[in-house]
Amino acid sequence: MHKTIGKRVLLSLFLVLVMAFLSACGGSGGKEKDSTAADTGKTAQTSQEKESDPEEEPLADVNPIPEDGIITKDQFAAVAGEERDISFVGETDDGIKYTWVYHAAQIQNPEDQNLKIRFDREDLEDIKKQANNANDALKMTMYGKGLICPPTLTVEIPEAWQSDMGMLLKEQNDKLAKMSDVTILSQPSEDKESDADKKDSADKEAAETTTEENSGIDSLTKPKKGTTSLTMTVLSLDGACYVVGGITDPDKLAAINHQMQSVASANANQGYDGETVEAPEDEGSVSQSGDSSSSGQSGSGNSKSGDVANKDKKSSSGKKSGSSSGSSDKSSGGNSGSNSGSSSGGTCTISINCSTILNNMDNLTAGKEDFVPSDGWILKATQVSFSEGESVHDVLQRVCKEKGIHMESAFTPAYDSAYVEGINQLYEFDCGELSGWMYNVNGWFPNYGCSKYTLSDGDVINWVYTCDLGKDVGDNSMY
Amino acid sequence: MSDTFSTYHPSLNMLFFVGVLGVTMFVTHPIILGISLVSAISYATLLKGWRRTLRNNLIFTLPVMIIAAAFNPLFNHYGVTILGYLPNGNPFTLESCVYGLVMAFLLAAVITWFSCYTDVMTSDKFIYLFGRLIPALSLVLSMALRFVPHFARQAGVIADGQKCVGRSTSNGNIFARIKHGITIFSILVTWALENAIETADSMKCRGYGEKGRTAFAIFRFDRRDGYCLAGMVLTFSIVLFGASRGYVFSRYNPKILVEGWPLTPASFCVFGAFLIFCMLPVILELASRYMWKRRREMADGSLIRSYRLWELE
Repeated sequence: MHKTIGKRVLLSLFLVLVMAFLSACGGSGGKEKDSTAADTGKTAQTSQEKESDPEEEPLADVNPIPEDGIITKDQFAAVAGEERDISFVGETDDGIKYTWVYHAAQIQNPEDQNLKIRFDREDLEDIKKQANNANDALKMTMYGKGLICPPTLTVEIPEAWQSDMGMLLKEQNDKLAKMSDVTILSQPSEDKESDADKKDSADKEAAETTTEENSGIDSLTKPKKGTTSLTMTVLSLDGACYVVGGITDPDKLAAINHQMQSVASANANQGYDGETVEAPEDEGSVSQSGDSSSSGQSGSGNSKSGDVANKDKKSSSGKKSGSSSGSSDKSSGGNSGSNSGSSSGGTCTISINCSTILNNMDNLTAGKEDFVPSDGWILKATQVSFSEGESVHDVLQRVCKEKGIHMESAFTPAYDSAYVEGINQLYEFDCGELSGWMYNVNGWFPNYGCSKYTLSDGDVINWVYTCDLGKDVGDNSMY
Repeated sequence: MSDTFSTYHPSLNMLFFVGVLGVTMFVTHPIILGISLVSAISYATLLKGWRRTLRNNLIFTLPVMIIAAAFNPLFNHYGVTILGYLPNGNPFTLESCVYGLVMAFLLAAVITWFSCYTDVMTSDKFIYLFGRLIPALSLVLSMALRFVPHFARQAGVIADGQKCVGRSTSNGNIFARIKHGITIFSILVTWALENAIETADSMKCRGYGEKGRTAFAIFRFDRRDGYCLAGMVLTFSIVLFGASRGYVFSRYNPKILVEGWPLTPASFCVFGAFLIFCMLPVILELASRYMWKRRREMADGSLIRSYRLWELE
């Protein structure tokens, strides 16, 4: 009889363990079934084998872009983490030269990169119009998937743009969204005198006669002979992007305004009220373009003002496409790229947004509706200071604790990183099976987990909820 | 040993356990769980006696409950009421604690119901119900469902046999004991494998699952089965209707939401119907015991009276 009990105890202990395991797993509704969904490393970090194909040469400081555009994972793996810049240079038939600069220290999870670009300079009137009547535009079509670090792209085009301020736009959810700022350096070829003469005469002509008014404006806005180099931080290799340029130089603006006004008064058209049409600033103004172009001649004008009014419009426009507002409008872009690990503490900006759920409310798990704010912002952009070596995950955890926002994360050994399962009761898979939390820093969605991203001063972190594996928030690395 | 409900038609027994387990597992409402657990324990007490029930619950169910209740808040962190933070930075929430408790009671109820199930639904009943429909699967299921009690019994037999040759697990020092234990386990495994083959061969020899094979069964669907079935269907459909209308809805995930408490007429009906449904075997058993007692008393009384009368005369 004694033995029977002993056996029973053994058996029951075993069953208890099984039950406990089952209950612990079942309680969360199978939350951890598939942790590939969101921000944890999008692709497993596999072996760092350095042996590469015989045809693949190790990367030099400057490399030509191969015919198919692909720089392989192994090539990047060989240099990942080194403190050096690696350039890839390509050239198209119509004389456009482009250079990618990868900062090898930022690469944590090497992948194949397709660096080929196709450029189009024709048929962009539509885009210019959408971009609030931009002065210049250039279409770039890319073929790659996710980026392994935010590289700098320099494009040299064989014409001198008059624009002095530019930005990189991307079509997202049928709207243009800003990806980053573009630095425009144009070098007109040496025929400045004739140019100046032309301008003067154009001024006079415009003052005297109303028939040739356009030539004056053209001389101020149309590209001249020469070269322009456009420098930008690229945040996604996804499909078509547009570089648009506008004029912000006050002197030049005054000249153009003058032109415009003389034209307007001469034509006795609807009065040009002096209210200015802005440079393409963000998606808010981009979607505003329809209205401003309605005022006849001024529609093609290029007068710019500060972008203060722009912000108001944006906030009142209320048509946040969620994803784009979450992912892109805070991206300071430029060169504030992250030098992982190389900086001491500082301040960063963090925001948490789930506005993609607003478009997918019927997919949302029952009972979670109360946790989706009506504007999608769980945490609006907030400045926080951090100490040296802190990661995106540390900052998120701290901020959520301070603000009393619920947040759950789990360490995932496969990616050697924390995985954010839910914020504010909104968990992965709560809004369809492709949903979950993702993060971007300065607009770039890193292809590794959030506790492996070491912050540097001035970083802008956005936590965004995706309902479509990143597609709806501007990341194309997973489909 | 067998109670009244066990003598009812096997289909009723099966329906009862399917219904009661289904509601217990899918309606995680605290009051429903409470009713279920109380009924399960009372039925188990009737079937096995309070001593065995208490012992089973203490050594088996209670640890499961404690582990389930303790583990849930450690691994699940949803919920709006943050009580504190765990060392790994995740919140410790009231909701997950409550859900852990609910799960603990759910497990306890399910385990207790299953312990009743193995007593009531013997393999002959199971095979009677499903042998025609799904011969192979029903045999496997009936073997799997009695696996643990069957093995425990056989392990006792083997241990007793070994004890007779001086190889008891309470003999000698710790190493000798372990060795004896391993021997017993080894014999048990060998026996299990052999038993499985023998069962398969034996069932094959008898033409189990063959076309045209008949099986004798003594089960009849009587009038009392009909009444009982009507009662079960009535109460169970009230429960199902109430559950589908959300009268006993409960949710623990972001916020604790428990419908039907304080009692509304609708939820009262649902709880009442479920209580009657769960308590049905207990009611039947108590009713029959009471009836027998009355009959016996009557019989005794008449006997004594007649005896006295006889003595007087």
